Amino acid sequence: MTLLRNLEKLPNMIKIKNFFNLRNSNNVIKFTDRIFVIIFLVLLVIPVFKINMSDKSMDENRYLAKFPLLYNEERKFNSRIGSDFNDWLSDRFFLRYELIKLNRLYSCVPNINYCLWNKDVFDKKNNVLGTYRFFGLTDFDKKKKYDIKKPAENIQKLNDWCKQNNIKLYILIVPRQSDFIIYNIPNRLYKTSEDIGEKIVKYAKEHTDANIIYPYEEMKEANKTTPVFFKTDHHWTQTGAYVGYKALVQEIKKDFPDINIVDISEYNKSTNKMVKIYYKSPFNYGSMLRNSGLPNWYQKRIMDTNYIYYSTPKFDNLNILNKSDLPDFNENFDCIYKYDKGANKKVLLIGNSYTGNLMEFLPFSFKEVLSLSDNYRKLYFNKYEKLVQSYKPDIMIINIHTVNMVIFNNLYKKVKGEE
Amino acid sequence: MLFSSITFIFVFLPILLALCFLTKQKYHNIILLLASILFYAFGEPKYVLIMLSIILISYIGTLLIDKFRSFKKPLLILTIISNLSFLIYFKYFNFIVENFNSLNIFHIDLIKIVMPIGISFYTFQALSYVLDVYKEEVKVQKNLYKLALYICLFPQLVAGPIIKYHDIADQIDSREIDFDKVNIGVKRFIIGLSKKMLIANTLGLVADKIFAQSPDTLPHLITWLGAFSYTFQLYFDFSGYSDMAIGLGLIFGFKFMENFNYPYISKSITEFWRRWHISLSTWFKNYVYIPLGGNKGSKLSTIRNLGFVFLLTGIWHGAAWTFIVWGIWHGAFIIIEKLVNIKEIDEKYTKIWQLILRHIYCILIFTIGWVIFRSETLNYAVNYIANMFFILPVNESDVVYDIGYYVDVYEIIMFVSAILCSMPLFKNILDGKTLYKNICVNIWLLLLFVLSTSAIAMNTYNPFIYFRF
Repeated sequence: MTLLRNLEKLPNMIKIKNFFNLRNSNNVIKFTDRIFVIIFLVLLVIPVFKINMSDKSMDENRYLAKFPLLYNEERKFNSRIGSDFNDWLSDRFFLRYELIKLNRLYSCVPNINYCLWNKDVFDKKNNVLGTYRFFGLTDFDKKKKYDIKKPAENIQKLNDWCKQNNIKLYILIVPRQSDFIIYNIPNRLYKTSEDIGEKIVKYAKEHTDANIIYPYEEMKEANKTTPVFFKTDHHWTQTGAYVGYKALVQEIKKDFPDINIVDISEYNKSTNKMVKIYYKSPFNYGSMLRNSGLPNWYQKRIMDTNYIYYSTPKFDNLNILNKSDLPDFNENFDCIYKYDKGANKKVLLIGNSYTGNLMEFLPFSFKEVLSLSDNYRKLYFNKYEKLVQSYKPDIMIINIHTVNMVIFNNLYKKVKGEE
Repeated sequence: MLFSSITFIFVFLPILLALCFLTKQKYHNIILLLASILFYAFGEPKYVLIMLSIILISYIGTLLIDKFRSFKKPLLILTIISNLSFLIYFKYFNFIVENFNSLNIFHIDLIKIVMPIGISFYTFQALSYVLDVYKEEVKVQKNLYKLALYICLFPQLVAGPIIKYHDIADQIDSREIDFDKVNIGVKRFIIGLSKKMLIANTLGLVADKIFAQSPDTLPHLITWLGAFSYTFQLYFDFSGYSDMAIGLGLIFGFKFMENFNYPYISKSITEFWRRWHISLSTWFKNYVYIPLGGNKGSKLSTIRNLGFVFLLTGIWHGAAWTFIVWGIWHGAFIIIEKLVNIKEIDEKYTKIWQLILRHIYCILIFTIGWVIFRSETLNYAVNYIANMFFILPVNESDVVYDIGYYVDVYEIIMFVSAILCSMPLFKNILDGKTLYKNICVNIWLLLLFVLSTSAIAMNTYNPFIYFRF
């Protein structure tokens, strides 16, 4: 009570009437209410206590919003300054990731079998994550009409161009992860109708003379014993990549019999529960698990599958030229692989992130492989024409995912600034 | 700016609280006015001019009405038309033009119009003041900044409650920040935030998934799931926002009227409208229904007045036929209940089974109404409702998703919470009569605040599968 009396004598800084007045039959209750209000006020300032000043978020794979300027580059008043400020603060406030993980936890833990967030799914029983993009339908709105003829026409056009330039074209298409992994989610929970990408593949195979390799059955067979896709990442495992590689090179061998298919038994095997999609990248929890927002300790719990990783001493004999070695080569340049013991053929490979695990095997079949890494959402061949003509490969491989087949719609789209 | 944004909760609010808690009472009005203008300008700087124009028109109009009482009616009409013209242009212009064009008399091009947020609310607040001055229920406010404070006070600016000037006039001049109000205000704010972020947003996702699909691909029970999900989403979103507004008002010394009084326990649509969006229904009652004659005239005039009020209610909610039909739907049942003398029914049929039947009737009516309200088109609404009542045939092969796609344990927990919180079970939870109850409630509220903040944080999470560097 003495303390309370002393508190009342403090200078009347706080202009809240009766804030210090506890003289009442319920003074203990009033005291607890004051503690409550003080804690609330403290909670209000904690998130701005420390601002994340990094440019990038590795958890989200993107740049964080920048602090807004009052005037834009054209010296015009930035009318969006309020919402830009909100974006900036929303990306950077203190304890942001901890709160995100907390939300994921309490919205996920009560569920018995599945957690659905945005359009991703977490199969709790089997510790599998999936993202709608790789399930097929929802990336292709039911109401939208997708043209399956145009991609095939463009593939044919590309094939004809390759023939004119004495290049053999092969298109390696990676099937949907959901056909291999999320088989335990009941029908009509997440999978929907046939993937439009598959429709394009089918149509293109029937109506073009391009070499289209779609190793669906081979991967299904291999999946019976070893996972061909990661459970927490949308990429194929090295096993899956090997199956794809083998199907691809078998097709190439029909035209180039001297090409060898590397024997998997020559590789050293190891296992790891973590995900690796490229020899250059470190082991991690997987893209979908990283994106899930689940706490790290929970992510660890989910990693329950041993994936096979292959390594070969032959890798030391590979001469690899990276971007740093040829900085001005091409904006999409990834690597040039040179292998003396490979078949005397030059290969130009245009791929995306699925090419990563493929490169454990592909470079050992050829003398030289030039790997270009393009955007998974668009492929404009116009920007590669000159490079291909100057490089003069014997073989050109395009490696994409079935979900990306629609990019062939715009294969010959004229892009600003490019010839 | 939204109440459920990081900027509002962790920047705007603490700064404003510090300014008001540490300065003398005489500065509070100007602080709140500037804060309210900043609050509105934060998201839409150019549309502040519209709000300020409405304030200025109301100020000048009422001064003229007060000065030239013999011309007060034409001045009133001019002021109302001037104020409403903004609302009509921004909210209804394209709707009117689209419907006019469909008559194929001649064609008018649509204009790309962005509706300023909250325009329906602050326009009605301004009209409330103008009409109160006209009816001489309040003295004209000669102080422009006090009038501006009334119209654009940020707690109720964008989503109500619609405060009538005569309810708040005294508070502008004489109020004080009192700890008891701050305490209750903070608690109301947290309750409102939790309603919105935890219950409304969760059930909203369920409703969105269902309403995103064609009705003929939904199993019948799923349509009911969608209807009830939306029913709860709307209530908890709207009442949550009202709770936050009322809580914030209390923190700064204002006592606003309650906007919701457990509408989903109603046993008639008449009762429903005494409990739902009370500020809007009383606004229409005071400024439209009663001036038209209310129920003082013949039965026919009462029906006409009720019909007109509910037509306007539908129109107020949005520029689409679904909102208008929703208004007419409720109006029709209000009229029917009037004709069958609902007061007598309330007094006569009070056995448990009768109460349950009346309650089920009311639930059916407002739920179907919400389906109309939610639907993109009337055609969708008709098909959806037909599906609910097993009239629309659904081929098993057309059904895309099972129930597991829509709900799991977490959504069920939210559903149960929604049902419980729709009833006045926790009505007196903030009375703090016992120490044990007080401590438990305080801890629970702080936990809810953290959980709500985590939900807000989740909304900011935007990962990419591939690097966007």
